Amino acid sequence: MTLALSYIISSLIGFLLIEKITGTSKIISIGLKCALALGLGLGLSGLLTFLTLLGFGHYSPFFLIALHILILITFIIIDRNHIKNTFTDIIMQIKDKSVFDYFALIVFIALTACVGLLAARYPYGGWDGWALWNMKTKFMLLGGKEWKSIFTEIHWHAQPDYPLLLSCINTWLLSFAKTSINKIPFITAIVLSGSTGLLLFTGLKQFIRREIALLAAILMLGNPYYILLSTSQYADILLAFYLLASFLSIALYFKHQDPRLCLLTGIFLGLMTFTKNEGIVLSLILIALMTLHLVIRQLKDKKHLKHIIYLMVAYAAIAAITASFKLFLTPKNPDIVLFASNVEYEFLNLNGLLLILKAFLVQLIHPQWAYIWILILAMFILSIRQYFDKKNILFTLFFLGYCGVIIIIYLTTINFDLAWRLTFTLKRIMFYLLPSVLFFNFKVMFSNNHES
Amino acid sequence: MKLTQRYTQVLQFCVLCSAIILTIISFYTLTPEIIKVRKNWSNDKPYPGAAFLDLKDKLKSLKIAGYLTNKDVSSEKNDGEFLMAQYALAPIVLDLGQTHTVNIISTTSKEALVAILQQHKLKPLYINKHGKTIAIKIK
Repeated sequence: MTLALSYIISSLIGFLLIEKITGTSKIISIGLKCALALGLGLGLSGLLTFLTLLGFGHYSPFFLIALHILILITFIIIDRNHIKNTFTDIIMQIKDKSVFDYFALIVFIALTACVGLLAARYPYGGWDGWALWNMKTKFMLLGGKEWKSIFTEIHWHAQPDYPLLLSCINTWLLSFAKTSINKIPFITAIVLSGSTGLLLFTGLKQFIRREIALLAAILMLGNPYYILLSTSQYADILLAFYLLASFLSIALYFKHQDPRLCLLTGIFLGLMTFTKNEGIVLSLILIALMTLHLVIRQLKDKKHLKHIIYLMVAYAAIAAITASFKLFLTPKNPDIVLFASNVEYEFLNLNGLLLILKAFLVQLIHPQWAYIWILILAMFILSIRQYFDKKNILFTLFFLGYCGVIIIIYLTTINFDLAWRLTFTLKRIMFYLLPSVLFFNFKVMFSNNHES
Repeated sequence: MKLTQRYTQVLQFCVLCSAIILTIISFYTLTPEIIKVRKNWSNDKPYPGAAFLDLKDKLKSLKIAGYLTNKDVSSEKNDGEFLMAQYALAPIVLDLGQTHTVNIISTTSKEALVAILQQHKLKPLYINKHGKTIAIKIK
């Protein structure tokens, strides 16, 4: 029960922040706001936990809870009239919901229950789950002032340079719950897995027919390999959530041209930087493309400067935490050395490229994915022209750009055998891209009908 | 124009049918898994590093310990048992391959344990039923 309270507090903070940003406009549906609020709230709680750890030098649950309650009360006091109207609006909307909406809700509850059941196969998560993220949570909770030892080179085996958002979120959730340390990451993984499915549904529903949006979400949430990887207690599911949330806010911005959506995009991109190193790369590619798009628009129409500022300020405010973390706390990652003259790259050749291509093809047709990637590839090939349309080109360029970065990182592999690295990491890359790829593909294929 | 529209419609229909078929395949794969999980619900799953857990009581308030082993600790082998030991004993920092005042030793045989003790001039303090050893430096 107390654990539910920490989720509720985080979600409420997330919801009220979205309300504060979007104001009285209806650019985001209530369902989508709820789905976004959970991830946004948990992310902000994780950041607060990290800043508290730095500020106090150790874990202080009392201060952390007090800080959350203070933020919540401040939001309520500042925006009380608007909040009152919003909640009256929500109650009215719940009363007006159709049979389909209740059906969708039951489907999500049932699917999340299935995910929970299947997660029980590995209650301590996958190897990286307990060896990296959960171990760091233990250090934060129990290490006192020595929690910073996770950044020392003694901890080289647990990737001391990895951003800490998931561990910080689990640490925050443990502030309330008087339960075992092992249960929280298990529950967080199930909650994030279900909410990513819900986000896909509520997000797609803004662009395509709701029945098709529901089918896309069921296709993902019912995928055996998605369930396995999302409940492995890795930070990948958090990254998948924020990438999808960023995609959604960008797509909604293209639809409504509202600068407030740039602010929301900046926040999600910023949060992405503190999930994993890959999150930094993904967010940099997206922010670069988005800025380029806005600059081109600014040249044609002067009012877009405000949009660029909103995007940049929100992104910089959160990414600054990751930048400080990387610059002042963690050692350099010894496994990523790009184009150094004194390093001999064993795989920077045609053989390396063929190895990557082969590993990608193996993943693409592997039955563990229940052939979902074959469908995605077929959708792309059969309507390739639409992917390079003016309204879709940004997302297509993003995927192509990220593929390029991944290939370069693999080709410059040192300290590992490339085949081994591909076997263990490529499937995880495909996993955190899956929700965004599905969103993009279904939007491209079905949005025309919906709009007409 | 009409032909393009017809092509899009046929394509959309095919994608929808494929998505439904793939969903059915997924649930067909998942159902036996769910049944299996429900049957084995009460079975306790092994805790990572369970073999080291009882050492924690004997190492209270210790901040760092050496970790010595003759097992494969390469990244390709997921750092062997070492990460399990680190997880189970956290927040004590284990320093792989280095000796400290207090050390944890995990070996494949008793002979290997003796060899490590002699090589690093260590004295065993406690050996648990899994053969995991706490050893201190001989002054």
